[in-house]
Amino acid sequence: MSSLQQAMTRFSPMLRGLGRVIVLGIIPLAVGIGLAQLVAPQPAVGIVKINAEIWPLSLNFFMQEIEEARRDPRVKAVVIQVDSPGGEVVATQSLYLEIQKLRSQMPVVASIDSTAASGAYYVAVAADSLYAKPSSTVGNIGVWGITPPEIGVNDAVLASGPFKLTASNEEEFIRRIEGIRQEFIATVVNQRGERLKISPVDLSQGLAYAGREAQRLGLIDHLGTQADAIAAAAAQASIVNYDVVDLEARVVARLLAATPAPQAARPGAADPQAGRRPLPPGVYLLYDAQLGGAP
Amino acid sequence: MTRRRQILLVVLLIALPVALQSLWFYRGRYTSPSVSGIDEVQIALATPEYRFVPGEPKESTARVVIDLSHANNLEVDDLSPLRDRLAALGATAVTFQEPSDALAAELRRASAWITIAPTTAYSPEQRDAIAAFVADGGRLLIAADPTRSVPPIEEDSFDPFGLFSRISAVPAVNSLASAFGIVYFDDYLYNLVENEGNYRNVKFNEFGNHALTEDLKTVTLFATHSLRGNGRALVVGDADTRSPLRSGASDLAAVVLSADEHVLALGDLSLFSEPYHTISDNDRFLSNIAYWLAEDVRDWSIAEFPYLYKGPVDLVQAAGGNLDPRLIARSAVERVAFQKAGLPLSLRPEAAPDRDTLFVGTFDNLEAVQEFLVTAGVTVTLPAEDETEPASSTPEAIDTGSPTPTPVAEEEEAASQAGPPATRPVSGTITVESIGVVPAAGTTLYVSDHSGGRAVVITLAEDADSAIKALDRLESNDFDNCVHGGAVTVCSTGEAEEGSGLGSAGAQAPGDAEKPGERQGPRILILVRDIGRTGARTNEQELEGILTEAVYSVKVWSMRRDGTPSSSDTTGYDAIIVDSGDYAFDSGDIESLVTLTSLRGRVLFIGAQPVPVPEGDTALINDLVVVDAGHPIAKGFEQDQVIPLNPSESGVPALVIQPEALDSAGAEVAVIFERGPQSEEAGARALVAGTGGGDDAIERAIVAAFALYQLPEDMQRMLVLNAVEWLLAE
Repeated sequence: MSSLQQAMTRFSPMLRGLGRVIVLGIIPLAVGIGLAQLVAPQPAVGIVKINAEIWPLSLNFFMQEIEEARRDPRVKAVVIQVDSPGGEVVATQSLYLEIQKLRSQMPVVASIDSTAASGAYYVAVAADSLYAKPSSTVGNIGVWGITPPEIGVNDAVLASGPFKLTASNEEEFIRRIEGIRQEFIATVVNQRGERLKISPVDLSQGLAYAGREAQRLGLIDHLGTQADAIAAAAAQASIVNYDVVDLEARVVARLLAATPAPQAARPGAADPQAGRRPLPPGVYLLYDAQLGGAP
Repeated sequence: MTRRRQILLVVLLIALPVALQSLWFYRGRYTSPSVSGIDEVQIALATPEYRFVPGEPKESTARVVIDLSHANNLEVDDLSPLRDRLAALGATAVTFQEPSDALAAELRRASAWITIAPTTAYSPEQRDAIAAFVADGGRLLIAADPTRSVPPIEEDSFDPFGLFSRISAVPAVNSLASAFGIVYFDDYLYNLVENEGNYRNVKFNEFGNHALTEDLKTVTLFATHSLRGNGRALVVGDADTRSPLRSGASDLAAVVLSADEHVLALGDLSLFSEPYHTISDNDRFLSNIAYWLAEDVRDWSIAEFPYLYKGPVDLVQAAGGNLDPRLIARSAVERVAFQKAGLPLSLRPEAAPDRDTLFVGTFDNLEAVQEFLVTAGVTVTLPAEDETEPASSTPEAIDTGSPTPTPVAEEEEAASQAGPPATRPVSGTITVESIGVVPAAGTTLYVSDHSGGRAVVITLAEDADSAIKALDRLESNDFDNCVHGGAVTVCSTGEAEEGSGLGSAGAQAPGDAEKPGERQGPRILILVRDIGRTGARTNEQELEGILTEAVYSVKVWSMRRDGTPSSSDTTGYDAIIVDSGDYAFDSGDIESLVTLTSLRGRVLFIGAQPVPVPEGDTALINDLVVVDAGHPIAKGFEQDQVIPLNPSESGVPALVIQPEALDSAGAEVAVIFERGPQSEEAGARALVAGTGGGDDAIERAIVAAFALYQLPEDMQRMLVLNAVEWLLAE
């Protein structure tokens, strides 16, 4: 018997034991740990930031944030951080419907920073619950638009109908404004349900309320910070020890990686030079700080 | 370890981390809530109902004036539905866009006045003129609209929709409305519960009881102010109708009627425009308003002559018989005046019972107008003819004494009417129920009557000349020296028969004892030269007041009213004051020249340009300085005293009295006042007095080259009494 054979004969029980531990213990454990990352990853609460006026361009950005939440299996709840005066009607309604759809997959909680007025409140009301600060600006429910001009006839432009060029007349425009107003009111009433303590008629006044007053009226649920909203979303999703993910940063990073061009200006913002914001034709669920006399 | 156990161990070790991690991170499963959509029933958009009410034709003589002279924020087409309604009712609707000083003249012709969306304020004079019109029975419609603010002068590129730079037009409309106890609030009414498609298109279902709201169930106003008035609210909002300004207020009114029911105020003018007037019962409301405007209920009097007539007019000599040729000649003048008013005038021998008529006559032949006089409460009492009337070889055609002249007598009368007859003073009295008893002599009587669907004006005087002159007063609307009592106006020439008026025992009121020496004081004629260029006023009232109080016997002759005086009209007075106020002396003013050169005796000329002005010899005068305090005219003034003058109301520069003025043979001229340091031509003569000589000349004369009203009141009295005293001194 050689020395090796003698060594093997002396140590073979130890090696067999070690092998057994590795094969029956460590490897399954490692597999289990790896499987655990796949099956039960650390959950996260995603932050979707709606912090600009809601226009078609900014809508696209917000939608990507929501899509990011959907795509990431870790994201189990979403907090919509709202700080916006609202915007264009169709863009707002698109965002509202998207959040509604998201709620079927995960809890959504809105956290209002400075302002959730008009269209921004429309979007926020899609969430399961709303948080705001005591002095946040909340409400301004209503719609406004610029009456279409009355265009006569001339020989240079020939249209097929009296309202082809403007798509509307004053009477129809009034009806449209009224329809959007009713839609908005019905949405708020529907979403808030019994929590709402203010009549639809009073809502139609178009007033914006401070956060504390808004809570009293049932327009929001709680006064609290974003952390409170995150905790609430997590509780609703039944998750603990979760991560918080800034979905806006992800989208920005992805866009920057894809497009080396200089960062585009924040969508929907006013011209930093002139301070003016162009108003394309249309109707708006928009709280204009100038119109509201906000400082 | 059996193989089974090994397998179990492996599985356990694989599952353990998963389980631990799951427990570490997850405490349950998320169950999504059921999210319901909106019930479409919650979205209900009503379409407006259009209701058009056809106009009912009617005959109306109303003249409705639409005032567009206050930068009104509307186009005339905005009121097309209202104008159409008025036209259908037979009313005449015209617009007024003249300068503000023409407003009073336009009001004389109007039966209704409309002010819509003014953006400039009404002056106090305009407001008073419209208030007088309303007090006279005229109807006033005021409308404003929150969407009709003051248009910006320049388009604001930073505020193209005028949201922030809006200047309210409410102060402008309140400048007129407040005169009638009506206030517009700078707000708009809204209703979030029931509206016509928008919160500011408010439906009103509550109405005050009045013909204006007859048959109304719902009126929709498209942005309306809220109003408050001292009368009644005609259109009132319900409990859900609110104002952003008047928080907590209820029963907010959008249409009010003044207490006297002559002023209708609306907070919205879309009611008058297409297509809003056809929504709800707006068209019915518009019809009611048009009907109200077309009702000519103004109390037309001779003050509105000739506009109190609405159709062709007959000029009729009150006395029967042959037409006075002076009346024939005068009818041509009257025809021109009536043509300006759009009224044909015809001279007729008799009045037709269904035609508007202007009677001209004298007190001693009233058969044709007796019924009207009785209705107006007027009784003319004349003594019997044989007691007072001497036989006249040239009987006057207007006041024929014989009731049934024979054809031959008529021919003789007609043949003898070649020239103006001799004036014959008429004795007797005129009793007016609403005024009292006045002597017939020196009196002109006007009576208006609107019964029986026709307008009648009767002009009576003591004689033919006065009767013709009475037409002048009618045309010029000069009733300053007249008393009005209902349908009767009594004017006086200022002369009274001895034993009549204040001097008559029967007419003296108890306690109204005659002051001793009143009728024995010197007789002063105040000749008011109130004709010529420019001019704002003369001072006959001040002069008359001062002298009457000082027990002088005063007569006032106004050249504008009484014409050019003859030399006989200015003789027989102890002193004459020629007051020209701030009228400028026109070089073509022959009448004044004739008058002034015919004056004799003792005369005070006072005014900015009291005597004919040599070319260039005028300058503004702002103060006086007393240079001869020892002169009797300056009694009470101090030597070198500087007297600031009130500014001239007309801005007429005053005469600069040259040293050679009053330089007639033997005249001694004293300078009492000079122009003060603040005046142009300082140091020049401002008041001089001279004594002349000769039987046909002016014996004593004072020339004061400033208007009396420019002096402080106490100094006016001092100067006038001093001047008259000096004139009368021997």
